[in-house]
Amino acid sequence: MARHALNRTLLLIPSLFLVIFLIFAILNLIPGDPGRMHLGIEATQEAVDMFNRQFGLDKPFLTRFTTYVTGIATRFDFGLSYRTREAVMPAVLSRVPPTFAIALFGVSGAVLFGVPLGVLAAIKRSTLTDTNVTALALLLSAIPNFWLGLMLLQLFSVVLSILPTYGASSWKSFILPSVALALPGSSGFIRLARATMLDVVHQEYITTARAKGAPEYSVIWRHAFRNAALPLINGAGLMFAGLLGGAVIIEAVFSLPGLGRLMVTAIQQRDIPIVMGCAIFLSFVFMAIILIIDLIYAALDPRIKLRYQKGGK
Amino acid sequence: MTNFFKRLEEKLENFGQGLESGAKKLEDKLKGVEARLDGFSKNLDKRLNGLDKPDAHINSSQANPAPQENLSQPAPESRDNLTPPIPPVPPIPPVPPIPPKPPVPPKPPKPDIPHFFIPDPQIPPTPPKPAIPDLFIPDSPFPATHQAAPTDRQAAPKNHQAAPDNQQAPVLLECKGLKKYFQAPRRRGSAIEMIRAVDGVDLSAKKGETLGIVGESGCGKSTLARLAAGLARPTAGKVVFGGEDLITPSGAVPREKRRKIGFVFQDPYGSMDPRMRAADIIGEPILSHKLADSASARLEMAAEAAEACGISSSELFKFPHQFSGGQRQRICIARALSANPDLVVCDEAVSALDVSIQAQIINLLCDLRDERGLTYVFISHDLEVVRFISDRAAVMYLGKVMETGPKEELFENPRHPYTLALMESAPVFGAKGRKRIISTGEPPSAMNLPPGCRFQSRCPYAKPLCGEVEPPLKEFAAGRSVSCHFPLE
Amino acid sequence: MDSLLEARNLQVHFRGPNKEILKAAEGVSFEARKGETLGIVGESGCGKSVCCMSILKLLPSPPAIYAGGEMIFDGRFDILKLNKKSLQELRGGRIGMIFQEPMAALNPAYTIGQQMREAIQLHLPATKAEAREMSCDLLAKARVPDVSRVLDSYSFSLSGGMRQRVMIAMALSCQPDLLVADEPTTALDATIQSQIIDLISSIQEETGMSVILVTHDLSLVSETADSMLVMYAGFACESAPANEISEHPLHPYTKGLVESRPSSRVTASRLPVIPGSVPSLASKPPGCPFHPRCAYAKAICASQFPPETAYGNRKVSCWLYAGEGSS
Repeated sequence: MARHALNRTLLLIPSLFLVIFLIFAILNLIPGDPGRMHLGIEATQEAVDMFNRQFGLDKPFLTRFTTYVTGIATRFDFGLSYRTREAVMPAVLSRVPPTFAIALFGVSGAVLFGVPLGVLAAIKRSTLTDTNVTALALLLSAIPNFWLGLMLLQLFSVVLSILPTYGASSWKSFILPSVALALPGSSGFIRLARATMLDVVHQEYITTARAKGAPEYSVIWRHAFRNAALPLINGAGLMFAGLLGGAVIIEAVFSLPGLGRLMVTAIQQRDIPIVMGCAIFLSFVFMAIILIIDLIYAALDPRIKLRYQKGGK
Repeated sequence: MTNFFKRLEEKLENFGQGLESGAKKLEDKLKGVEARLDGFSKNLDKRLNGLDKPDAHINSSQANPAPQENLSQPAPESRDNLTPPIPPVPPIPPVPPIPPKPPVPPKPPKPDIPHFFIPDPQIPPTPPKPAIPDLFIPDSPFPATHQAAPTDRQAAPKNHQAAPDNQQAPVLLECKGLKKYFQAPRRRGSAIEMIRAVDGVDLSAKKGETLGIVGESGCGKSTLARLAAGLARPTAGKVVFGGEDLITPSGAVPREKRRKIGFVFQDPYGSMDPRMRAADIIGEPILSHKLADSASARLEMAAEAAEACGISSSELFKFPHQFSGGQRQRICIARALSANPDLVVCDEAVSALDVSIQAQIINLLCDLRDERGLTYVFISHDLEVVRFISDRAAVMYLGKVMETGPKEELFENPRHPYTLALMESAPVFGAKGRKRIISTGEPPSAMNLPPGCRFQSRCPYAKPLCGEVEPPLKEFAAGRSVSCHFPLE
Repeated sequence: MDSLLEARNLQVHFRGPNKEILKAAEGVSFEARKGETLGIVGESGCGKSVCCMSILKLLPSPPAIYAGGEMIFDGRFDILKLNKKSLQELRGGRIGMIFQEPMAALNPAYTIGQQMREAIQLHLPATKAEAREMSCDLLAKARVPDVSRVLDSYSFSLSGGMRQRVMIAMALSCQPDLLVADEPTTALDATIQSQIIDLISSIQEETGMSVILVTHDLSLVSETADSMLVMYAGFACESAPANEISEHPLHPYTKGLVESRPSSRVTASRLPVIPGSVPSLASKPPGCPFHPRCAYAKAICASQFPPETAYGNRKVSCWLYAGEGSS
């Protein structure tokens, strides 16, 4: 089992290499002169040429790629930003904490709010409770998260003035963005939890557990939910990874100095090294999360665990 | 060849060195140019902000080279403490005292169960004779037909014409040394294992006779059924149908031969396409073998087959889910017969049906056999059904045939211990408390078969020879063969 | 003989998809005596599974409605009216149950040892080590080979017969007074079937517990049960000691079942059959539900369900006997 985990982790490296190649290729084969694109139309040709030479942009593609990869591999150097001339990766990493925080709290909130509701709807299937919960899920999925964010901002920051309006000043500034992400995101978990629990709750081992005299809460959580939990872990991990790069609008609404805003700004300013750095970072996080989910699956599902242990069965 | 590799090696070395030097050069250049770019950007800012006239050349800017340390510092961003203060650790609650152990219920004494457990016969109590009206009528009022509808009660049962004299009938189907192996799903680091589903089977069925194959799950009878019908390709051995090989050297089964073999599956619902109507299901073999000229002719033939199986033609437009279990199986049988086959292979055709419907379907199969002179290969795990419907029977265990023979002799005087065990384990109606021999253990896995006879681990009569040499299927009387070193008397 | 479990006039209804009421069990009464085996026989849709799940009130409650009747345990209380806590104590503690599909009945996420430990610890104050020791004893009693390996493996690693033995061991872990077996051998091979039935019988002899065996196999029930109940479409047709039903069935449906088995007519060319098929719950014929298929049907059979007639310890619900004998 540990050997399998190690294998999968080592496999990350060639995958990452391929990803870096693809990102580099796509972003550097965009038609147009990068110097011209960055400096603008009014800049002189000499300025543009100077710019290109300084950033090594006049060298052939493969040379540039090799330099880039060598830089990453040896010195963890992702190049310099065109605009600020600072190192890319430290800039990217400095913007990660706020995004990480709201992604984490957002997903946790969505799970903690949505999953129990979904389980409740599954237990009380086809009753009024079930209809209400499903309607709630539909309503929540229809609410745009930025609208909710704006409304929450209006209510709590402007009218009631109990929470900060902008910036990442204290822990209080993360409450509203997390709620704005969690509530619409919970609709997916409500529906997913309901579907997986419905699958499981009619299995015969649930009847066996009841026939053994187990109390109802034990039947639902220890027996049924344990088997229904795996798709939820999958969903939670993917939502987290998605939020890291995709919470741009919420970051804009709440003026958080986050990763999404950095990326969007860099794209607008044609700051290609920053864009590459962000893209590579996000890809790495995605791959890491998928790896962790796979390992959790293997740990929780005995069938998969046995397959990876030598001489299983 | 070695030259090529040498040159490749050299090239790679040069490439690597070039990379290193190129990287170093670039680094130096970047550092050296930093200062000038710094100055240039400052000028640019001044120009954009102060709307000065653009300068002539960048090279003439005299910005101070910035110290190297600034380059590697990240842009300072105001960052407050994001994490909330850690609350103090609560004190550990005192451990409650361990309650005294309650007494464990006393263990009942272990009974000494011998390996071959024969229960004592229970003497049934003599019941008092109440005044019960006598309902027992010698001729059962229940008709012996296959008709499902209660109105057809008066149809007289047809006599079972004994299969035409077996000695003269030609052999229609013959399996010679059939083997079918499957590859077991591999685990990491373990060798490839083969599941020997059918391991050397020799069987034959004469025209007009019903061959019954009986065995438990995992004995390979379903696989054998598919091999005999040409639905699977054997790993070794051959199937001879009508005197010719069923599978041509190219590996396919000729269409004409396929038409002559019908197949009835176990699950009546699963073997039908739920989106097709009954008429289409029954008419599909007619369509694929081009037996009808037009759609209406095809419908007529399908209706004929359906009527013969007890489905009225007014129901043919319905979908499978609108029929009951027995009716679905009738549709499957009609489908198997619609192309006028000579051989019908029934793979557990009645096992999924209710008891009262089973009798109807069994009667139907017998009627069809007598009307059309069909040959059946009837596979089942139910001894009683096989005993009723077949002329000859074969008993299978773990991929091999243990015993064959005409049904009366086989079931009256079984020679193989496994046949005896099967017959003993089938419950007998009304025989409360009968003494019976119960076999122990379970069949070994089909992957790791021990050498010698396959049944030795459960056989009460096993001797050392059984563990070394596998007994061949030997014919010891006309039509009777058994695969055992020490057959029963 | 004392009666351990007595069902009186049990009525269980289901709410169908179109809000209609489906009557799965109508007025079913049976009795399981101490130390004896009761066999409940019937085809699919007759309501036998519903009855045996009602013994422990295991039917999911929104679709199922316990519309009437009583389930008296040990002559003292009605199971259907118990509160939740007492019901949980009863389940597994005094009454054990095993099901048809042992693969589906064991939780795939936990080892066998964990599930058996749960079964023990729910009713007995036992530590982890004591529970493991008791599980080993139980599995040995159920004739499971290689006990410690089985305890640490998962349900999908075991064969069908082994799983059913594990289920039996789990159901017997707290030494119940009654074992309810819902088609325990239908999914098993013939030789394994006889081993399982034999195991249940030997445990019954040893501990004196009662067994309720629900199956569709008439021969099996006649061989192993002391008394039998035959059901059709939610109604109880006939109940009697097993040997008397085998020799002398009274109800036409029982008679038809007995005669349509292939082994009853080994030499005949065709089998006698009961024409027609079992009605679905939604479209049950009025009066006696068997009358469209019955060879002895009279006019009254189509309008009224017959009252129960008793002959000593035999009971039958048929218009052929109603009006005679002692009711």
